[in-house]
Amino acid sequence: MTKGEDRRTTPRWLQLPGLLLLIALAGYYWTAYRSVYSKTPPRIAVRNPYTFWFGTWKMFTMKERYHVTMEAEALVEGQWESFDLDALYPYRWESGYRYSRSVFRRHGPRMRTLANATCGRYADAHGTPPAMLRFHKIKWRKTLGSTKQPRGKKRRESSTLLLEWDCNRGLDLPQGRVL
Amino acid sequence: MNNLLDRLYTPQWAGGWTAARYLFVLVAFVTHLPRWRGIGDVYGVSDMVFSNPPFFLADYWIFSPVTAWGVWAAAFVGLGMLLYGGKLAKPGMLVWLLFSWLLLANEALNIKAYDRLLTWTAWGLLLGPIGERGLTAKHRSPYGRWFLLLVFCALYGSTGWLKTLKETEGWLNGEVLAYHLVHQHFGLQAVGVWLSDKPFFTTAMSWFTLAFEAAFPLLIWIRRVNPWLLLAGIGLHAGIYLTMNVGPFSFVALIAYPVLLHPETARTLHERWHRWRAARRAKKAA
Repeated sequence: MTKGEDRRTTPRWLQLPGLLLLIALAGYYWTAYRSVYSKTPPRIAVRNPYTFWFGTWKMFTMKERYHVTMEAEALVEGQWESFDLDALYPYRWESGYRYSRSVFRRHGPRMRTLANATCGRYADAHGTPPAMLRFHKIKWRKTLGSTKQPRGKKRRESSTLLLEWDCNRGLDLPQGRVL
Repeated sequence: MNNLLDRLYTPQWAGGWTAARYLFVLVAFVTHLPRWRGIGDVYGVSDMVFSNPPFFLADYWIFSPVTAWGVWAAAFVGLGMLLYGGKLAKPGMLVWLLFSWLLLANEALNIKAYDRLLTWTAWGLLLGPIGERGLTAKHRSPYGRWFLLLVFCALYGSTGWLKTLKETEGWLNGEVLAYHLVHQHFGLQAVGVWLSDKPFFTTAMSWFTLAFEAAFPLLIWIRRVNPWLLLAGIGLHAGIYLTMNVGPFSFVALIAYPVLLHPETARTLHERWHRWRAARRAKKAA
């Protein structure tokens, strides 16, 4: 230590509360880790699953051999036509479009909101309102070493219907808004 | 007890905080700027409105596009204050946190790991001495550093141990990484695709990742190892940046590194750099 150095630290009365806060933080992280890792997560994490979301770091952990994407069709003038869903929602993150993540597809209310919004956006973009919409989950095997990721039977492509939506049906949004 | 508290709160060289503050401003700017493209599509929309745990903001306030523009811009005011530093730094950080999170919470679906890490880092900076100038000549409470060390031990440790214990074989033979390198959104970068069908490289990279992440919570506290471990961390994040598309994650993770570096090592490096600059200036003058 050099003489005359400017040295200051936390006031004495704050030091113990500060230490307790660090211990609580360590406990929070430990519980967050156990909530993801353990087959029998702590009861608090089961009751309040989002309490630990902020401190959970499960990133690229599991093996994922398949690509999964969502495609849509519109019923216009009695004909089912596929259309570019992504073009109606152009903003994307590195994780894909707003609806690209698997948690979105698995969540009924979110899918219904997407369907209802797509009825409106499709009509605005194409000038014709669709009568119905269909959303499919498409899954196919990844190809290592290639920027092209071909689909088809060879890559075990499969399609699952996620939702069929009648565009005349209303939907309640937050604050009671109806689209 | 007093002895423990004395040791825990012994002032440490504070120069690293200045570097972390500048890095934070730069990375937060790069993270927040592109969000303007989403206004009218994902931010400030009336059709795709979501209110779900843990974000219920839309139950009370749905942004119009004009409001979304205002909130987006206000976050930059906070960053400006943080960049100016001094007494404006901490209020600036709070302004940044408030407005950036208003925008994220209104969208409610796509809050990324780097948004959360940026926020943990912001809290760490708020607990540090970023509101002072001339920190390279000061020693301050290490409390914010302990906080950030804990956050990074949890970050690297939990992700490393989850990989090791949950998908052991796939990580040890490099397969998990290989498939992530060709992920349709996160992957498909030129270098990553090239590496993805070369098990020698993916296995080596996987082992390096596991070793770094799982050992971080143990090794970071050892002074001799500390700088080399952080250097390995820079290598890991540079590798992620080159091979994957994870947005600004790699940069966000590096913001806190100047604080995580042992303060005496950081001071030595800082002094060497100053001596080198002074010698260069003297040489030029001669």
